[in-house]
Amino acid sequence: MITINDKIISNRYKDIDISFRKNPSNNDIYILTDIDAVKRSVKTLILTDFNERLFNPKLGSAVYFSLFENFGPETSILLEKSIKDVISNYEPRAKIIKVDVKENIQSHALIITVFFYVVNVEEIVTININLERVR
Amino acid sequence: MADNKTREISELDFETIRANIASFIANNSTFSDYNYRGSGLSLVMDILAYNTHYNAVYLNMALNENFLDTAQLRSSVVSIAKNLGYTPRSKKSSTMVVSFSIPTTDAANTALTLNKSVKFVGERDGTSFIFQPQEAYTALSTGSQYTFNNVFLKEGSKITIQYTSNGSSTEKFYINNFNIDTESIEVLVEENSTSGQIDTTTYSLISDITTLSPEDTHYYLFESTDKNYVIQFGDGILGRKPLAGSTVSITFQTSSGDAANDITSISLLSTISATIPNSTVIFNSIVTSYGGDVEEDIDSIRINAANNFSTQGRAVTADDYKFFLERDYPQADSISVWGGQDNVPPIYGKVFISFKPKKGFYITNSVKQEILNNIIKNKNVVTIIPEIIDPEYIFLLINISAVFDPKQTLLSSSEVENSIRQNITLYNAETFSKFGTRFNYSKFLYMIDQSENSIVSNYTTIKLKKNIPVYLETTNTYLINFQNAIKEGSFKSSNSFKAETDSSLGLSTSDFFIEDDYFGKLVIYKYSAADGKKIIIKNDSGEINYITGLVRLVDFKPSQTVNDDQTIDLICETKDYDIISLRNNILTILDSDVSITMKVK
Repeated sequence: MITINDKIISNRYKDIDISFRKNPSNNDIYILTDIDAVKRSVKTLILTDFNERLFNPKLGSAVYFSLFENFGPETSILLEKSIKDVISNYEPRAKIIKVDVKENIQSHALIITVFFYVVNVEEIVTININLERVR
Repeated sequence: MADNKTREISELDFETIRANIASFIANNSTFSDYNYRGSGLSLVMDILAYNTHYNAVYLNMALNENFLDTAQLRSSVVSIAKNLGYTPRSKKSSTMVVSFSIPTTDAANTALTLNKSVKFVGERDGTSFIFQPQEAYTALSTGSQYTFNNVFLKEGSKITIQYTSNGSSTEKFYINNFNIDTESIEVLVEENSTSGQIDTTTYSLISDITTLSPEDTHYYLFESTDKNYVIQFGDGILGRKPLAGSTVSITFQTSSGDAANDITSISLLSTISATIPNSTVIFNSIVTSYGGDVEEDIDSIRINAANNFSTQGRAVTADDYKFFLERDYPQADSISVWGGQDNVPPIYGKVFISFKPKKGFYITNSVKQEILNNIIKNKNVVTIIPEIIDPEYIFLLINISAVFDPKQTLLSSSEVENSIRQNITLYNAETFSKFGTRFNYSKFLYMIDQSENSIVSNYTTIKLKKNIPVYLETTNTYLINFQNAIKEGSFKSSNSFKAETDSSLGLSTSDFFIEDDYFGKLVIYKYSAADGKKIIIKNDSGEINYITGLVRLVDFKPSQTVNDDQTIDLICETKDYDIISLRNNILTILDSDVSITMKVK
């Protein structure tokens, strides 16, 4: 009998690694599969700003936009909602469990942690995104 | 193995292109995440689709810009028109014709010159416009005054730009001024002659390339891609090429277009002579400024370039005349041209032209002469004589009885009536006041019904009126063409006239009227002073053709008319409900000719 995890092992999701690294074993582009593919997709969606995608201005989250706003109590709520919205709208493979937004005022940074699981997979996936000013 | 599936490659829309790429990947790739917007594959698809979309739009636009019918950019339309030998019309300066006199004590026959640099100023809507003479005029003193008659002034200021020629046949001389009136361009070339003298030569605009010799001093004029104009000289074979180092002076007049039309008064801005104060200049007559117009727009270039090519610069057919007149006399609101063979009565060897100006009813005789000399003379066939005749207006007398339901509206009876009047005015502006229009009775009734929701029905009668100018104290025959079948017994003069010197009417001081006798004859009658009954004085005053609508009033010798402008109003009813206008006739509705009776339902 084939289990859900067997299906995952059979590479249900296959995506290009957008960094275009070369796989030394076959000299081809790296392929992201299954949880890795979904994880990269979720991260890409979160780090996409509104109006960034051609002809699809609503795709994206408010993460970059928030960096240039004054940080207040509502920022976390705004970010959490925005991340949940973009994933529920554009990534049906991921089900959000929790979005955690913490500010690190001393280093002028935001630490975003997204907890989700891939549909039909029990394993909880975590993405950490640190946003900080570079100068 | 080759994939035989159909590929869509003609889409322009981004989403469709992207969907096609997704479909291709779905069938051909090992990757499966093309459906998820966050995937790397989706990003690659976005870029591919954008690139395809970009190229498709670019190619589409580039192709469209290659054809006169589809080009959207002015520079493209102008460029294609250039290949057809057409130069778009620039702005045109308004013209004003003035006559003025200057009191003087100079001896008789002393000459005074009005230079081209003298400036006059006129004003319209709070804006001042400069006018300058088209050419230098000279007047001789009578011993008491100088009189300048019919001085043609052009609106705008004169500007001169100078270039030094490098002697190349491909050299272009740019005129960077959007307000140029190209008709005013004067090109002078100064060259050092072999004897050390400076030779000044005037170059004129090329009109016919087939007659050019290497020594002909002409210039070519083009519109450049940035909406300015460019002058180019001959290459030494088709026209003379200026020598290297020669000075090219280009003088032109700027124009404010149609903004400077309709100026009725003018004053001197600069002095004619140091000894003559401006205050002493007395203007005897001023013709209201006319003829100014904006530059030709893209749609007009599109039409005129093709027409210009088809006419080959010659006016042969009626359409050729119409094209040249529409292009070169943009002040015309409507133009009608017909050959003499189509005239009533036929006059062979002539072509008739009639203008309806944008403002007013008629164009002046000086403008007619200007059109014949400047626009038609060098293009028409020698054996054909062009003649400009005034338009004739057929006024529609409209009597409306409209029924309205006051429960259906908050408006009063007079307000509903006003709605009808406004609609008729609009209908007149949109449908009539041009040559070759048609009055459609049923549409007119519908338009009245639609003027206001509360109007239930209307009963409308239409009569035609022509306003005929007559020569007083002179026996003449008048042809009045209503161009529509006339109802028997409906023709009559709407106002009276006197004929004190007409012996056929008894040299009487009575008021006379004209009407038809139901059998095709015109009769002149008067009313008896005793009992007010109609007395026919002359029962053979002309004929009326009820089928063609042609009325011939013979041996007519009025001495006085009711109308101040020495005209008689003649009216008739038509047999048909729809009314047509041909040749120089224009249908129009005057507000004062509309009578409306409102009835409550």
